[in-house]
Amino acid sequence: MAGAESLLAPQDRRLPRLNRIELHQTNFFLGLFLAFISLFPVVYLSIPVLGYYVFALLVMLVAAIVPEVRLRMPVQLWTAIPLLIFLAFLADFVLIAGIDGAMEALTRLIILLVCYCAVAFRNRRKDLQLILLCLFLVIIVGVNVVSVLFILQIGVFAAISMFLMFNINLLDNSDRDETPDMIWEGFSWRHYLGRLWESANIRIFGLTAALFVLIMLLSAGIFLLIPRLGLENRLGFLGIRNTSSISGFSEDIGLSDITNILHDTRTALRIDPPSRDAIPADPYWRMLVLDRYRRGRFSVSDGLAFTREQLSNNRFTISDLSWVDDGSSAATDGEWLFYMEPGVSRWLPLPGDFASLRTKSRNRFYSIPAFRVMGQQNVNSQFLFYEVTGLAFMDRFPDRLITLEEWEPTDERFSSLIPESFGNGNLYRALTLDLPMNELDLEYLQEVVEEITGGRTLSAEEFVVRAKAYLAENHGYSLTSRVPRDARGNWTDWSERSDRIVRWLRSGSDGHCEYFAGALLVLSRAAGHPARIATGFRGGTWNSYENYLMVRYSDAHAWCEIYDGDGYWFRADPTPHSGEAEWDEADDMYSRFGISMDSSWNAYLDSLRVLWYRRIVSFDDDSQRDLLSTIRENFAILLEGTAEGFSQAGAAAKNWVRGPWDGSRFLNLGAGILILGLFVFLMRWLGWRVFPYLTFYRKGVRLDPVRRQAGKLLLRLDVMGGERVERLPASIEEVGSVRLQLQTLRYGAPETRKSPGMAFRRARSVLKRMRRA
Amino acid sequence: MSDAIRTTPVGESRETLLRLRSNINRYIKGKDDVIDRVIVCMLASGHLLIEDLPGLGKTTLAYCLAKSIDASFSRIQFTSDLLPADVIGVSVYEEATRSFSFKKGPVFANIVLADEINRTTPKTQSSLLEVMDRGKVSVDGATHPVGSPFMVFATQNPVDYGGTFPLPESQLDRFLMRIQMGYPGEEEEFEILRNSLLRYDDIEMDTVVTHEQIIDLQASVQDIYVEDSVLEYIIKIVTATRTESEFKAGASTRGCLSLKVAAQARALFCGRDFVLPEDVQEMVEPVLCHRLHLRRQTVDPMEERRISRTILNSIINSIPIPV
Repeated sequence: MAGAESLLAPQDRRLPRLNRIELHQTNFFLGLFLAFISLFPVVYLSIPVLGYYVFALLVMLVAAIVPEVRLRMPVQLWTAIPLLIFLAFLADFVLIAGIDGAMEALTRLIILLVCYCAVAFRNRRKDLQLILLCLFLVIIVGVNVVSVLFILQIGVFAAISMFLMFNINLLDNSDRDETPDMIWEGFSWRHYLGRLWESANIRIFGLTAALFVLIMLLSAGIFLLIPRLGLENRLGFLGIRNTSSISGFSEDIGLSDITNILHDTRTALRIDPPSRDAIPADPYWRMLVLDRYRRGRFSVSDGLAFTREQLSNNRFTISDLSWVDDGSSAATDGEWLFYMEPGVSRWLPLPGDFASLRTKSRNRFYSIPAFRVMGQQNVNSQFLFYEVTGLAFMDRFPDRLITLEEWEPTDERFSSLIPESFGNGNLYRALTLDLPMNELDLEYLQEVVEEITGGRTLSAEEFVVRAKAYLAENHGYSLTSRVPRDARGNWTDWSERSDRIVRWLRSGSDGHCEYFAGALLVLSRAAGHPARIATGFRGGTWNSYENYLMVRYSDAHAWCEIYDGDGYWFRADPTPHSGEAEWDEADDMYSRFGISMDSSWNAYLDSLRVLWYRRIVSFDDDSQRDLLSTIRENFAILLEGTAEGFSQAGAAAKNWVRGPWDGSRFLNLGAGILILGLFVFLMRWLGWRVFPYLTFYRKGVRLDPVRRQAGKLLLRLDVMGGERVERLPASIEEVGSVRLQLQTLRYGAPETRKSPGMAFRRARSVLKRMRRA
Repeated sequence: MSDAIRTTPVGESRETLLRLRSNINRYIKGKDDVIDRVIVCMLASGHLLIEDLPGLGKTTLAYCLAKSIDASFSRIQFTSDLLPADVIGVSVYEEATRSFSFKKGPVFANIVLADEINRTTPKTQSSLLEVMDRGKVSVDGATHPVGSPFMVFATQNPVDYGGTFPLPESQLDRFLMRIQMGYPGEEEEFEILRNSLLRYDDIEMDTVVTHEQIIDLQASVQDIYVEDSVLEYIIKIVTATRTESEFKAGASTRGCLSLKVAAQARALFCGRDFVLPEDVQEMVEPVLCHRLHLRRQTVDPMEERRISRTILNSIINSIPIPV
């Protein structure tokens, strides 16, 4: 029998089509549904619209339940309503909302307009208006209430509006024009739903739903795959810069290289801290240390450049740094996410040591242990994202012993400069005393040092404090500095011989961070304190939209690190007014130090970008794995819950059957059956076939059981007969007579009906034989 | 056909009708389906509009049918100057009796062949209306019944339309069916050539059915049982023609009734006393096609027929068969 049933598949079942009137009705209900969907989340807005909302919903509900009631309303009213709405908007705007609340008034206006458009007799123009208004509403609400609901809403909105537009097209395809009377006079939900059900193609619906789910899954898949394929670097709008444009943070910089980028207010680095409080008041994002000074240029000494270590980054995580173990200051909790724009530098901005650093791709990293800095092999031509845990903000960096065996000075002249006291213990510290200048300059420096120290021997810290004061006294801050060509302030040459920083010191002119840092460097070295330059960023701007730190190119900075004679290099920032918060009213030039708030439009645009980074770019392997395992766990929980639910239900049913059968129980049972019966009756009243192929109710003529049975057998005979009769030549006659008998029973007059039972038996036996054949 | 069927009254009529068909078949070769439809139309007491090119056997068919059922046959060649009186007859004053007496026109016959009906004026065309509808002619207050059975075979040429008066829709609605003859097959044409009968007067037909039998059969068509779901099926088809946007207007209620009667007649012709959905399907095209007019412009009438037929087929395919 099962085989025969499957042959009964509805191969020739063509469904009736909706006519134009019904399409018009469908159009109306679709528009109404669209309006419902777009209005629905308006209450989540923090705008006083509840009254309007409830009113609109009520009106739409009434129109949905009794659409024909709209015919009873006078035509003039329909034309007057838009005007009334506009007047209401004006009154609202002028009397209540005002300029500040213009958006609120506009939202209320749109709610009313959506309601009107949804309820009115729509032509094509009004249909399109409705779609646009709804879209507007959806977007207003969606932008303000960013939630998962919005995605769902926009998905349903898209589907319904496409359906609606398709319908409009269908209706527009003819020159006929139905008036509202023709469409709505005598409308009955029962008939309409019956027709909808009759003409609904469940297979098409199923396919469409499957397609929709497929697209959603595909989108999710793409979403998950983006980080793996590195799509973010291939998308133009994320901004891939010309990598040669920035030169501020290389291993060899001149006195103005960093200053050159100070005018660039683009964001170079975005830092997503675990919390706002985790960032110190005046953070230094240290990138590289330059230990050699020569003729106005700072660089990494050749020997040190060779001591760099390659870091293994196989699992995208670096945690086994050779220089992290030797004691560091307190690490912060949580994860720090760094998003570095392409072309900034090969060196990573890090304020200090860290426990682990994770990237999402297999980059090659190097570190220079003596400097405690790390970088990539090349300047990042692509956007770089890294995640750091256990990050410490340090202003003192432990010295790392560098011995002669480890490091071979390339310039033999330096060996004479190494004081006896350093011995062979740390050659490196000796070399950071190197001052390759002519005698005049060195003499001048000694004079200045004398002036600063007053002839006494000072500790490094003390010297730095005094030197900073000296510099601040004699020099102001300026982004443009003029350095005279000679010692007497004349613009003549002997610049070949006199050092640029010494000339600047002598001239007393203003300068920027590199001059200050350079001046402190040479003064410290002249005073016998090993010193080096550090470059990186200082401070940043707090983006209040998405709560992260924007570090711009204009935050680039240079400062000194001085050896304290006790195993540590401490940070010394000689640039005047830096770090002193009280200074910011004097000159807004200095207010960029420290962290300021930014809630401008640019910050908003920038925050959108970070949103993208956070959701998409930083979504790496581990996050994917986490997500998948979460899904699996939830699925397992669901399965378990379902199984448990079934067993519980089974137990409950068993208990229920065993339980005492008293009066109230019978009453409940009766009520349940009554409700079920009412439900079935309602379904039948609506003309719904609950199981399309097990029709317990057929719309239209009701068949008596004999006719129904005969029809079923006839159909089976036809389906099978098509191909199998040829193979049963002996029974063609028999099949013919069986078919005629069945036809007589199915379509014939009742009085001609003779022994249907026998005819059915005969038909079944023929069918059985045919099936065997 | 099994024995059980042959012994029933419908079985007997089936025998009779098959005899009639094979008789006509002797002269109209290879047109079994056309002959079937003509017989069905006659059983349903309807009138027939045959549309095709000249010389394809339209007149011969009508003549053969008339001769086979022992019915009187008359032929009216419609021309533009034909008057109603030329069709239905005229009252003339008789000197001898000093009264008007009615001279019956050619319409007083059992089978009337209205050749090239669209060549005559609407006035003459409409003079056929009453007689086609009621089988009676009213002249000067007196009503004269025409022959019984009465059937009008109208022919028209769908290609050569110059100077014609196309039948108005009201008149078209009165024809039960419109059919096409079509060219015969090669073998059949060979047969026709071999017999070389040029004029239909030369045809020697045997009478195989009396016209009383035909009247009985026509009466029994009414008794063919139509089950409710089949009636519903008919209504669905007719309703579909009314909602179909390709048609200017759908079929009329007369069209709906005609479809039912034609289906009943076909059931009788097939030897059944009940109607199958299949009967309805078979009759949709001949019964409804000429009652429907396309909204769009077509190059020539033949194309219009073709498009209408396609649309009707798609309508039939789109409506579920009652099972």
